[in-house]
Amino acid sequence: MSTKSNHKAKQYLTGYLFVSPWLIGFMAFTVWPFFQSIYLSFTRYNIVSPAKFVGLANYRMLLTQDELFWKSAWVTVKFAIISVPLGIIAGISLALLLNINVKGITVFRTIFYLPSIVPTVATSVLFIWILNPNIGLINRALAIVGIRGPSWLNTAPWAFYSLVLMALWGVGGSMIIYLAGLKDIPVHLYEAATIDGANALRKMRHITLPMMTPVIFFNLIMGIIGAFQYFTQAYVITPNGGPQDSTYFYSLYLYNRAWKYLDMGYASAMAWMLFLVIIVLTGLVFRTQKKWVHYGG
Amino acid sequence: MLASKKLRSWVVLGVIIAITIVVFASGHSTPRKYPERKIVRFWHRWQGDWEKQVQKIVDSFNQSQDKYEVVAVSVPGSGADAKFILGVIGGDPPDLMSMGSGAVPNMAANGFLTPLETLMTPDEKVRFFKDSYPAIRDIGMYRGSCYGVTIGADLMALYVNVKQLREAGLDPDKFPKTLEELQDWGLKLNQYDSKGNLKRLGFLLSDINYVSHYFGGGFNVLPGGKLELNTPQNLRALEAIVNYRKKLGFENVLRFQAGLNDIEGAASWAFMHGDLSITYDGQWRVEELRKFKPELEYRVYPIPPPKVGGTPLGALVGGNYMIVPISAKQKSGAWEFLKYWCGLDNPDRAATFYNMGGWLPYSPAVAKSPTFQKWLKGDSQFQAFLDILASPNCKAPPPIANLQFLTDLINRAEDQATRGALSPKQALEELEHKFKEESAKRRALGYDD
Amino acid sequence: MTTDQGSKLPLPTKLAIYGALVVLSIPALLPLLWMVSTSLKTNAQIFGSGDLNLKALIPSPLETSNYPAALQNMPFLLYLRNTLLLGICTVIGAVVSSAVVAYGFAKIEFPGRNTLFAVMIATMALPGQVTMIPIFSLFRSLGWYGSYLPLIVPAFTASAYYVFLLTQFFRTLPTEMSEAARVDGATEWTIFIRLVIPLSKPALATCALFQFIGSWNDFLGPLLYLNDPAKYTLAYGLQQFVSHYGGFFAQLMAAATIFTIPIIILFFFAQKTFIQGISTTGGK
Repeated sequence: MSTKSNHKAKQYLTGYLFVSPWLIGFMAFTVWPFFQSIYLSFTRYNIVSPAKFVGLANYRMLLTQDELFWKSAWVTVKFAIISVPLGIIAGISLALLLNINVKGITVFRTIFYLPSIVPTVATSVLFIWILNPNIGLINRALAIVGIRGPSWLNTAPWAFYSLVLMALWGVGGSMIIYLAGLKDIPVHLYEAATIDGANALRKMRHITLPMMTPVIFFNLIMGIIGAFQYFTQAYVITPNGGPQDSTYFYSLYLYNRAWKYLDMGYASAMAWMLFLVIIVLTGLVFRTQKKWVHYGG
Repeated sequence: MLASKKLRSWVVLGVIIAITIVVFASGHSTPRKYPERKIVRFWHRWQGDWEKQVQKIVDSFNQSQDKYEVVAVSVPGSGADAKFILGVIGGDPPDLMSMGSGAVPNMAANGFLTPLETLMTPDEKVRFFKDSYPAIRDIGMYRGSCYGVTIGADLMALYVNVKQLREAGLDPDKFPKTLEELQDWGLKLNQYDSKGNLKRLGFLLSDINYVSHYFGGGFNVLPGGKLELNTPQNLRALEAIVNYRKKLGFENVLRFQAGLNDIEGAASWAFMHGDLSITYDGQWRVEELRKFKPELEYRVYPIPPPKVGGTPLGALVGGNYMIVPISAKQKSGAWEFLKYWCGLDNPDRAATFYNMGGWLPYSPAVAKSPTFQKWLKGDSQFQAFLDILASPNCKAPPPIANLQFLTDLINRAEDQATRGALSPKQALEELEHKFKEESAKRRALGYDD
Repeated sequence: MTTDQGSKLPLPTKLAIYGALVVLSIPALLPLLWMVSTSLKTNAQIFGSGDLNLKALIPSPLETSNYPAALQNMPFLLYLRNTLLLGICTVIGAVVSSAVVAYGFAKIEFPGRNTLFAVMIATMALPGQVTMIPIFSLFRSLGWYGSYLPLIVPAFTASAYYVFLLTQFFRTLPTEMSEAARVDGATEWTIFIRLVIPLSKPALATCALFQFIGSWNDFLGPLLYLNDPAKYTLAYGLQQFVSHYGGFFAQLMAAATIFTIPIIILFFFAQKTFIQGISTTGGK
């Protein structure tokens, strides 16, 4: 009995030892900034002078008096609803395609990852050119089939979809993760299925996809977090929120509040609202995990 | 057994990493040229070729005296404000910093910046306030103190493509005296393709924040808190912008603008390619045209005011502020350098610096110096900007803490009105309403604006 | 559609696969092609024609002077050295520490494990824009400001992103082998090193790759924490070409190309690791 509990204690200790690098980093570098920013969200803090406690004022103003808060929140929610599923589908499809062992596939893998490597300074200018309403590639292609394309980045709904397109184009990162996931599926599962006479579709449905669910789950969670925090491309291409605020993403507004208007207390309140939304959503997704994510082994 | 072997290799790896960090983390550092002197740390936002010009000015100062060494670091645009703010709150600020206009009143309001008159001798103080162009003096002022000296103010004027004017039968030497006339010229200069899309734009009035100053207006918040936002003058300016667009078709103009092959920071300006016949833009384009399109024949004129109630040579000045953080360690050195660069002590020497960057001088004394005048002969189109700068209608933005917010609201109002989403009247009403709302919020939070 | 079966595919399927690959390659290749082609033009060539078609991608005549000019405009080797230093240190730190932590979360039971894991995921949900100042103050009070330490040390305390990713991979590994090893008296550390690490190469390579690219592209980190230009990195050097006032566009693209090529080469070799996944290292 005592050796068994001794053993357990040792196991627990090992567990804590293994996670200790993160735990130390968390205590040292994360806890303090987190509490600090919670506190700041209850203050008037313009960075340049000391913070002053104002209670719930920032939150109250956000929820009841800030039109742009709701507007930017909606832009972001819309973005998440569209881009997260699209990103997952595109990522998996590309990974499946690139997992087929044909000659030259390594070159194609590199090619498909290129959009994620080329620096933003180059891709954003290229995108502005591709979306040029007169001479851009897209509108020229549309013109061939007789459609007069919109002036993409300069009109309200289309600027938003341009950014969705641009985000989708950078799907290479999650593609790599899916690919790594595919490579982790033990071959013997397929071999057994072949012996059982399963065709490719059945293998896909009963082996590949179930075995991929842990990675899909990962990309779903990170996709949600990423979509709600989506910032960089919007900031580079439409730093002021685009035509009629159609690309005024939540994080962009947050950034402007924090660093442009020097309203860090308000921005911290915005950040914590966002934090709560993300936590609730990812928490819900985590709850569904048992139903569809298969951890083999 | 195996485990301990593995463990040992991990330990070895760890030690190697630790050594690498210790060796490299200190890193290479730039040696000081004058280690015995007091160091003046200067952060600025110029890059590429401009950075080299700034370095020349710094070198010139370092050679001119033996007390200080200015060390310049280029801090690229997107990270500049964050780095500056973090440097100051972290207790390690630069001694001198160049900043974009918008944030200065906010920082001054919160005691972030050194009032520069505390660094000036009584004589310098008198001369600085007397010598400066009024707009340049005002732009650095907050509640009676001067917090920034603008080196290289930004102004706008019309760039006119002479050849295209002549082709359309218009005489560039008899340039319109009123805005209405200019707009008529613009219509004559427009060109369309076979599908009716605009191919070349003659002239387009835009940027309400700026052009309202030609209508006797301007967006202002007076010291008592009185708002001059939704004023009849500003409304007339916005209506002029919107009505002219309506003539061309909102959609047509938007499409044309989105179609311009115009990339900021590149040698790509629609005026250079002939897509715009008359357009208004900043003084830095003179330098760009000289560099990238010397063969293009062009003129620069101030925008003519409207026939009724117009104010000639109006402008909203902006630019690069030089500021000294309140916690700077070498304030007097910073001021010495700033004085040297702007030309308070020697206008003629400073003229060389202004000419290096094609910058507008801070005072008429620099503009009148022999060196500057000589340069002006080669870049004669620059004169229009000097005329505007000297005009009483050339104004600084209102010195209010939430200036950035106001500027964004103004742009948003223009965006709404020029898309036809709101009427000019509605757009300005909304602007004023939103600004009041924000001010009320700030008051409720206890900000003292 | 299974792994490693390509060679046995019938010809029409093969052709269809190549067709799909080639078609999808076009948009994927466009940014690189365009960047390289622009870097081989003069500014006049870039903006002169105003035409954007595939033919315009071929620069004629070839203008190679942008490359030496771009290299001259920054201390390239110095920046490269700094970038590599940061890249290598953070890759080692992030991958090693994250793998260890992930193993703890994935394979060892201990009280509070799920709570800690949830907390770790939650740390990713707060936008960095509001924690920047407190974090900065923290490093400043530790005396790390002005050195590489704020950029390197945190990497050694595991990144939530990589831990989460690796946890997902470790959890799918078959348990039989590790159970057998445990019965034989192997410690968790031995199992981790001898069994789990070799089986997780693709995932570890993914983390290393992401970390290296992230560090390679990081411009703000070095800018905020370092004050001496001699300590800056290639990303800072590249930023020097993104000049606000009339820069040299072709030079910018040349600099961007120089900046990108090493990563492409790195990726090309790194992706071989993905092929040698579990399928070849055993796992039956």
